[in-house]
Amino acid sequence: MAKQTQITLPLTSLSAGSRGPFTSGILPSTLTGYQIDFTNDATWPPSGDVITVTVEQSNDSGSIWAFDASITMSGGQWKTRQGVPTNTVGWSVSLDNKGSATRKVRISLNVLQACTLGATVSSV
Amino acid sequence: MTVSVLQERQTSVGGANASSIALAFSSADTVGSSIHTFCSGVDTATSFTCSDSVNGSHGAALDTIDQNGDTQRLAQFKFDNTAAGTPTVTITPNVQTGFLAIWIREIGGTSGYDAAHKTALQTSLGNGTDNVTTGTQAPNNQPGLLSALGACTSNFVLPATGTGFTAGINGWTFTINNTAASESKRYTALTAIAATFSNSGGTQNFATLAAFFKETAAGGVALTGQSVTSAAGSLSRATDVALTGQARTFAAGTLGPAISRGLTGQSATFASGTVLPASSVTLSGQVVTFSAGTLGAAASISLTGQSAAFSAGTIAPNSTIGLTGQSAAFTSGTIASSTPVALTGQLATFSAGTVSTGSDVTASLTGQAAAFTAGIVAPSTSLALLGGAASFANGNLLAGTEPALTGSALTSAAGTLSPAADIALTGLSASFTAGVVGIVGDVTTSLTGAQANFTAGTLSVPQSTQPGALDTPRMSPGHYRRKKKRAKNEPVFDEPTVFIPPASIERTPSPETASAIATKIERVSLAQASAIDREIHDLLRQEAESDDEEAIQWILKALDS
Repeated sequence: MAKQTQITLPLTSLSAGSRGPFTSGILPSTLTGYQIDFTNDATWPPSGDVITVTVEQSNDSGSIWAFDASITMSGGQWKTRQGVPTNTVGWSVSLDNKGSATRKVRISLNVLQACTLGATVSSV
Repeated sequence: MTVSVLQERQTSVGGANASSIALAFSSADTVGSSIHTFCSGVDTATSFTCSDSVNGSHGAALDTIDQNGDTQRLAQFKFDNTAAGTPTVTITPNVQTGFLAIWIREIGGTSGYDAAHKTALQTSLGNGTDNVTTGTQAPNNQPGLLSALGACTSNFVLPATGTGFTAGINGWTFTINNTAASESKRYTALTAIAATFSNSGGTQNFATLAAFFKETAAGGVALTGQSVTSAAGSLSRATDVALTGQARTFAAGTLGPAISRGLTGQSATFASGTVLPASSVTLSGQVVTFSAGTLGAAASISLTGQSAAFSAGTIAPNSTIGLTGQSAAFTSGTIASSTPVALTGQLATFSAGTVSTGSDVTASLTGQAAAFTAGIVAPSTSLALLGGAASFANGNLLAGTEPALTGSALTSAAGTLSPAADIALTGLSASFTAGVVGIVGDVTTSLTGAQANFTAGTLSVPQSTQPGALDTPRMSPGHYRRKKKRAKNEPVFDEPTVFIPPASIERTPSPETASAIATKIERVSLAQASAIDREIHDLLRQEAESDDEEAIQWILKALDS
């Protein structure tokens, strides 16, 4: 299905600590997954764990939430698969329980080092 | 239940370094399922670990492969017999790395990983049907499921599902969306098979990983193959299990009531398992072992083969055990009351075991070499060793037992016979060496044969105050000679039997006795040796009672000739 933006977190300077959760609306029932596109800038730390991004999913319009996926991003230059430096990377996650008309996702950030980061959550 | 992929998911991140990536199953796993996990990352990471929130570590990777031209390292893991819950599976590379990805599959209807897997790296591969392949690999059991992942490591195409395979999902977005695909195939033969995908995207590089999972049988379970293992399983009521193949192992499992299990093949092992009441286990083959298991009440076990061993196990009351083969050994086990044990074969050994109290506890060892070594036979039990060489060594035979050793060479060495025990050694060579026969007049020992030796043993007797006491002066060592000097022709003793070692006899028989013995010696043949031996024995006793030393000397010379 076509990519549809669900949550937008502008590029922001973040100090250590928790942010969120940031919750989507009802997701399309035909989605096959979701994708989070991150952006950073030159201030991205060079090493160490920087941020843990956690996604939770609800199949009852937000009453009950369950862990869905997470990633802990570390310091260092972002690169394309061909090794070219970049300030955007995507994180894609599949969903297999298609057809739900009451599904939502929400995203939480645990900032481990001060950084500048933006994120867009889309259904795909 | 047919083995199949119940659910699967995948996730991947782009070129940001990551120290871990985690993904939950969408639904709770079925208890007992297996989890098949693939992962990928830039090859600056040289290894990965895999664990989940319900079951813990998934252990070592089945494979870790590196498509170094594309700097992409991949691995696969498996975990069997999942617990209840919805696992979140986490992949952790040994160093932070980019393009980290994970792919998780729940395999249902499986009794676990089949100890078979296969991977391949292919480069500069053109278009073709089923040309992206792991290469062939034979499963160890059938039916089963081949679960596979095909990944384009050059990251520009999506491999298509191979012929005959069931498509899974697509995923791992790196340069393009979806650079990898999963698939599976149920197989019903032990023929080697390959996981295959098709490439239609021009010259590309691929990595393919696959693992085999055994299908759980419904009701009856039949596992056939070169190596068949039932490990840590639990079989419930009224289940039949048959494992057939070159090597079969039932390890640490539990066999419920009314279950029968047959293991047949070159090597069959039942290790550490529990057989509950009214179950039966049959192990047949070249090497058969029941070790450290527990056989419940009224359970029976039959081990048949070239080498059959029951070691360190426990057999509950009213159970039966039969070991048959070239070599049958019962080692360190415990046999409860009312349990018959039969060991039959060229080599039958009962060593260090315990046969418990109970009049109908019987142990029977039959074969060319039958040995009871260092065991304990409780009161009111019986023990029979039959064969070419029967040995009772260092055992402890308690009151009321009846061991019988029969064969060409019989040895009871250093054993202890308690009161009211009977022991009979019969054969070409019967030897009771250094043993102790306990007090009380109804301890009887009978050695019969061409060479019958009671050597260095102690035949305990009732005290002089007891009926049948033998501790009178005439029964002490050397008494016979002393007695002879004081009162010629006085009977030495009445009962019980005293054995007179031939080497201690220095007499010449009377002419009448010598004539009678000579006649008997002429009749000696191997077949009659035992009977004649007894008659000679009786003559010797008569000579002893008549104190005719010359007659004895004559007998010795005649025997030497």
